[in-house]
Amino acid sequence: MTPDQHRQKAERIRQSTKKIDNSVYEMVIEGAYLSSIHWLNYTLHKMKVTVDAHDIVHTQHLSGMDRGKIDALMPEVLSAIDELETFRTRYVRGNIAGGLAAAKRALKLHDQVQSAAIDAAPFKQVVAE
Amino acid sequence: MKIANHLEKFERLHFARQSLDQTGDAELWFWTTVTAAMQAMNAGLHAVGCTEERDDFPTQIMGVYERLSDDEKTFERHALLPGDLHLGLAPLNPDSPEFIEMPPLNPPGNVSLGIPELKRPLPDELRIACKTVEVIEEVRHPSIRGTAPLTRELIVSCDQAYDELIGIIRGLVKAPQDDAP
Repeated sequence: MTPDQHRQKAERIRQSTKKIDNSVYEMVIEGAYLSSIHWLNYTLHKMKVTVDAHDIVHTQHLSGMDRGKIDALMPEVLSAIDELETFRTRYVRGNIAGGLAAAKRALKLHDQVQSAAIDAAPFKQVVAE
Repeated sequence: MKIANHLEKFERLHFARQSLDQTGDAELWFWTTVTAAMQAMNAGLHAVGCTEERDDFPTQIMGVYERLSDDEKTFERHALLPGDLHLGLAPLNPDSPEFIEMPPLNPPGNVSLGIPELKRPLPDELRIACKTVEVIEEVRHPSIRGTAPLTRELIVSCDQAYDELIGIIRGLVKAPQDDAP
């Protein structure tokens, strides 16, 4: 997908998430996560780290080298998405207490990812496709 | 999780799903559908003894589960037999193709413990339920992660599959509130 396509999806998902009542914290977390993954791909394409045809689905499924590369270039984005993944395990698929607080935190993490994405600039070295 | 926990989550997700517009909120509507279906399916799998009811939760790594430590201060990860399944990762019906056929970014970067083996063969009702999940899952990659349009036809097909799944699961497990708010 192109960066613009990712951005459109990310923004629509974030808007849709506003319709979800906080009591359904699972979908607030999922909305924040899904939008953030589109922002991550937006960033990677914009920085010329990945080509448009190559989108990441899960950061935890990346090879060590790819994770290391992304961690070096945008540690705050990777860290935020990793934290969102822990929320999915504990509060969406699990029933650990504190889902409402986790949902609020998830939206903050999303906003951090979005800000970093909008500010991202092309990386000077274009890696192999 | 326990069956009651799955059902409690399912009911809230089922309700939230109705607050979203199928076209204007296509991505989150679909994602809520699949998240609710996951809860329902896990309740059904536990109810018939295909998977274990436990107090641990699936991570993105198939077969790896997370749970609270005994002192409830930290989280631990363990490789365990199938408990709750994460539908996007786990093909439930051995006769069906894997749900996720897309390779990871840089193969073989996907650390997998393999396809989980269920504790007993799927009963007929759940085989049908698995087919409904597949109908829904087939939409996830092209239309939600990708740019293929979520057409009216796909929406209807997801809706019908979801309704059929819920009917099957409600027949297998007694829901605490058959009429969700």
